[in-house]
Amino acid sequence: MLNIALGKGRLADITMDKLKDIGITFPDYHSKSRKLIFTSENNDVRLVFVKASDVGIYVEKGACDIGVCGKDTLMESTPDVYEMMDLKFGKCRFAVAAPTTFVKEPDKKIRVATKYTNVAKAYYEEKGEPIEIIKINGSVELAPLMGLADVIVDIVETGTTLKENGLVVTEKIADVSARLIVNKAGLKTKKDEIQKVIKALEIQI
Amino acid sequence: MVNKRKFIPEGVEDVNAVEYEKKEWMQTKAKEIFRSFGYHQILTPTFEYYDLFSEIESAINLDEMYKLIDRNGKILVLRPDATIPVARMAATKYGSIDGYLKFMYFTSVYRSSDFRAGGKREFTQAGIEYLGNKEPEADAEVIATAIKSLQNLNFSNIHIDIGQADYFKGLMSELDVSQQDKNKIRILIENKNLADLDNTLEELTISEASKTLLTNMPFLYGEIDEVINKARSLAINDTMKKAVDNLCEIYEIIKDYGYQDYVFADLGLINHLEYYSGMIFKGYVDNFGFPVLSGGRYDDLLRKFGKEIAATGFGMNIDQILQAAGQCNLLRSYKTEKDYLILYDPDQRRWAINKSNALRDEGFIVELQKTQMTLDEMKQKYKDAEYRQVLAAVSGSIETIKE
Repeated sequence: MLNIALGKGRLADITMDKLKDIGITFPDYHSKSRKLIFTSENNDVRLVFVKASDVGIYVEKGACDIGVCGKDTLMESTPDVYEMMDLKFGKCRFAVAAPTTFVKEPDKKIRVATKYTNVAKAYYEEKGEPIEIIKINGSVELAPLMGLADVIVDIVETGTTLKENGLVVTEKIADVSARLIVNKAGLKTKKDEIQKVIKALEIQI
Repeated sequence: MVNKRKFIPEGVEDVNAVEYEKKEWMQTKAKEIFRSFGYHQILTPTFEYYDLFSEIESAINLDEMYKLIDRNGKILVLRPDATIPVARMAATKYGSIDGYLKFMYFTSVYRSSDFRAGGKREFTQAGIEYLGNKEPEADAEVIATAIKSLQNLNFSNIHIDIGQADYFKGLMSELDVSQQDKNKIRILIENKNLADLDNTLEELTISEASKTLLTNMPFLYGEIDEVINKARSLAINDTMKKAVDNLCEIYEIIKDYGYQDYVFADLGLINHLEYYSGMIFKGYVDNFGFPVLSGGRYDDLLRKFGKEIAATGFGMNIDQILQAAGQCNLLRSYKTEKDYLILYDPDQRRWAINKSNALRDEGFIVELQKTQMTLDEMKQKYKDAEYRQVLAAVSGSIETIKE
């Protein structure tokens, strides 16, 4: 049996549609259900719903063979998995955003508010710029407005939230989209089952 | 401050008697096989100089080592790896070796890892190092030893992936890009991340031929014959061709061992390239989500100690093997078994001591206990005891309490 980890939400809905297209259906699934595990009609695939940012660890540790999650969570938690496919949906980007009035003072460390502390650290480390990180769990846009930070690092989709709060994107960090990840041992020991799902999704894209 | 008296630090654990029996059984089973291939057990110190590991580019992250300051100010580390100390020992103690050295080890290794993911800081590592033989026969023998060890541990669904470090190194030598980009490419290929590999290669100025080859690298895995053929047709220089030939030779020898059904190829096994210099392999069992063993050829390591000694070997994490065995239900239920309990009345002490010693000399496990109980009380108390037999020595007679 193949275990697939999905983060609840939009990515999961799209993935379920794609699985349906390749003939894997889950009869007792409906979007309002509080159940966390669903078994496919012909009993060969099990869907496991976890928090989006936990998909990586479930797959790395082999509790699930395959996972679908955003590149954003992979960049943040860097699980040791095969990242085998860009599923090309759930597109957005990682960016640095600042209030329109922000001017960087060359001799001062900038304060970065973000939910993605590892992504921010890695980005500024590569740039060679020392920063101060402030971990924020939600509505990151607020931090610079209230003087808690100078800039934010966050995922940006349309930019509407930024705009309405007087922020602009100043640097793009990376493109983000949904990825198919595979457990490193699983790809070898459950080769045929996993390849079947990968091939089918490949045709879909 | 919270009183920590009742706690132990994260990442370490007590091993109870049942666990310990299992662990010892696994080590004995592995040792039987290692020994049958001619390996001798050695032990290197728990402390080594930090310099030993910091000056050698190796598989271990320097930040993950436990460091101590010695009395003279030197930095020491708790053994973070088993192979490098063995290499040090071989290079310094066996300066000019004539023939081969075959060492095995069963030892604790200490590394700080991610506790949130249930990482351990102390774990038991077992392995072999085959020194002084640069032939593919040695590589194949090491792989065969690994397979036979897993078989002896009752694993049935064994899968070994073999790669060759020189194939990727040969390819990278053709590329005129920065070390940083090379490293980025290596990680993307290792993680079979084709999407980001494509994007990364797009931004670099390298020939179309190299690009095609690089984007093929993540797919060079699976049935060994197929991979060898494909890899040979893609090879663009001598280093790469030789790497394929070497893989081919090793595979032919493995066939002679009759182990061809267990081995597969993966030329995307390209981790720790500064360490491995030829064949690289990883072993998987059943549905366990981690490799249970890994190894390869590391001829360059002993050169760093000023010695030209070829080397190949593998290591396995006994704690992980134990976990895999548990998941595959391979372990019989261990019970601490004792043979006799002799209960005695204080005035029968001498008789009880003599009796127990006589039984011990015959090889039985015997425990003694002074008692004031009546026979009925004893029968009630010990009817389900973990002893095969319970005897009672009371005022002149010997009674069997439990049989």
